[in-house]
Amino acid sequence: MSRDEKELLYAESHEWVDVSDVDGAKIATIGISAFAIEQLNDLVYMDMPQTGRILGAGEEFGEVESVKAVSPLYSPVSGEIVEVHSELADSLDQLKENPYDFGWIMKVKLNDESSLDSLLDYAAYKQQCSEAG
Amino acid sequence: MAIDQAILESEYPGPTLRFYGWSAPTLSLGYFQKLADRERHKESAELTLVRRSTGGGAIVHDRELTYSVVLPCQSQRELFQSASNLGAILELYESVHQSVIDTLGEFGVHATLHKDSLASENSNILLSEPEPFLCFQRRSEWDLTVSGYKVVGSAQRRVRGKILQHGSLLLGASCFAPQLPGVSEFDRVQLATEKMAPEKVAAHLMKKLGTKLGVHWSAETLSSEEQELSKVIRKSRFADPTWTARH
Repeated sequence: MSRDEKELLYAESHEWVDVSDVDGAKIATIGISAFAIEQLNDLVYMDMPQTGRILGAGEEFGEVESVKAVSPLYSPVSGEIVEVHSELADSLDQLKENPYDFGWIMKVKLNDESSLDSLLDYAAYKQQCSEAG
Repeated sequence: MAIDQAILESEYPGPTLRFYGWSAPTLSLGYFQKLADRERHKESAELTLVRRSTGGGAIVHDRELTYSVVLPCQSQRELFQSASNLGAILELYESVHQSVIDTLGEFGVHATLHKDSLASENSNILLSEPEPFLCFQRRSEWDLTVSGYKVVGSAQRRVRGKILQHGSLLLGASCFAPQLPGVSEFDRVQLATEKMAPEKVAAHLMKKLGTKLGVHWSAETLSSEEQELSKVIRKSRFADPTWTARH
């Protein structure tokens, strides 16, 4: 099943969030938006986070390198990393083709759902991107 | 390296430009380069090694002028909007490298951005797969070349609200990387090495970059916070073998 980008939430720093209920817990699947990947066009390296780590909303969880710049990735939500997409770092060329399905980076079990309140819906995020472009 | 990082991570004092040299020839790896790839470059095998916090390829720091510049961005969003790019801020590359071009022009050296020389010059380096180990054997459109040879290698790191760009201007070839000529060694240039003393080049570059960025630089020493933080960063990162071996 493919994710619909219009149904996702977004951070200003361009991570997307897909929240689902799993056994009574809220699990956020997180990746980088298609717009961001387009801008990062020659993304060459990604440092992946570790399962089990507790993240606060806005906390750095990884790093990417593009055009010789190393940039941080920020967690849009607060919670524990329960799963990491281990194949992604070696398959970054596939990110562009499939940012919302193959391109997921990690799954976070939310410990504070209020962190979702500051995220943007698709329309607001598109507005941000158009202002940036 | 630790001082550059400390300036980046300390409370922001305003745009900061720093020039420095190296007490001994040193090989620096790009942040994501594999430690084992060092074996691909035999000439620098004996050199002290450090891993940078910035991306790109390895650099033999020897006969060069090293610069670093730290600039502000108030928020991730503003950083993005000012750059229209999530990776490098290409405008900063262009500002610094154009200032270096203007500086080298003062010494009679004709340098160009690689993107401007692609159609007119032959590259003297054979680009190949995998990507070359040394930064100066790689090419991107904002790189600066003289006679087809790359003479400035720059790389960036972002943190929240700020960006560090540092880089090396090759003034002369190192015996630890003899395949890479410096700007004082091109036949067409015919200039005396002493004319290109690092201090002189730095003075010109400071002036030209200040004009380009709209910044009036004033000489300052490191703050006590920057000094203390640089010691911590040096110990916990750049001098720590686990940092050097992280990839």
